[in-house]
Amino acid sequence: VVYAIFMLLVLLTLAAAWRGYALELPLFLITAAWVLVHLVLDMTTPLSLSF
Amino acid sequence: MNRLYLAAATLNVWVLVLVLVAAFTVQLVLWELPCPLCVMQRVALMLVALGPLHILLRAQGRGVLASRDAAVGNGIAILAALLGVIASGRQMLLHILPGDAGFGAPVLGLHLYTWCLIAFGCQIAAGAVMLLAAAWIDDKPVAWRPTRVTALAFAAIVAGNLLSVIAEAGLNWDLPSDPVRYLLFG
Repeated sequence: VVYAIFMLLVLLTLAAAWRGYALELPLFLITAAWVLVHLVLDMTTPLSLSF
Repeated sequence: MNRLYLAAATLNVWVLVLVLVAAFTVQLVLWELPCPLCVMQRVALMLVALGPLHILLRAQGRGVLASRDAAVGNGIAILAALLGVIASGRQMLLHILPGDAGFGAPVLGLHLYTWCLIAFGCQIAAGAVMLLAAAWIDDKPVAWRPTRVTALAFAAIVAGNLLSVIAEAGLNWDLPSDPVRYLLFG
């Protein structure tokens, strides 16, 4: 589900950019920060994203 | 120069869409389900595409290509490409030991995550070149017709991946590290 949320956020960011809403940049930054946290957790905790 | 700049941004988005289509094709045709890190690399590719799309959509909305929009768009692309470098570099390092066959079938001798790392490196270089080229942008009105179809193609491939990852993960928060079936279908 978490990956679907990432992709949904990408679609929402695209929609905001299309409409010229100021929400576009905050949405991008939130998604990017969450992706970064998810990757860092994979490297520092038993969470296993990888094979 | 403005039209050339928008053409480069359009080409950038289409290259990213084609990479995502290629990964999707490998998944559907060769039945190679993406692992969590592979999906993270796809998400990073999508985030990268939001950069040049920002430039295209702002130019379409305002009728003018502004240096500010070019700077923001390339900043988005470079930041997202750095996330992609982390994800693909991490996966490459996991399989670097001698005797490790790697994850998935190689394409032209390299695994998809290695190709991804190369692609993200090229994207960072392209973003830097686009930032430099912003010095030649002027304030003349510009019309660029391919923006709409480019954004729609991108939205379609993201939506396809969204449905695919829901099918793959089912109702689970995360994916198994080595997925072999679509969990939504049992």
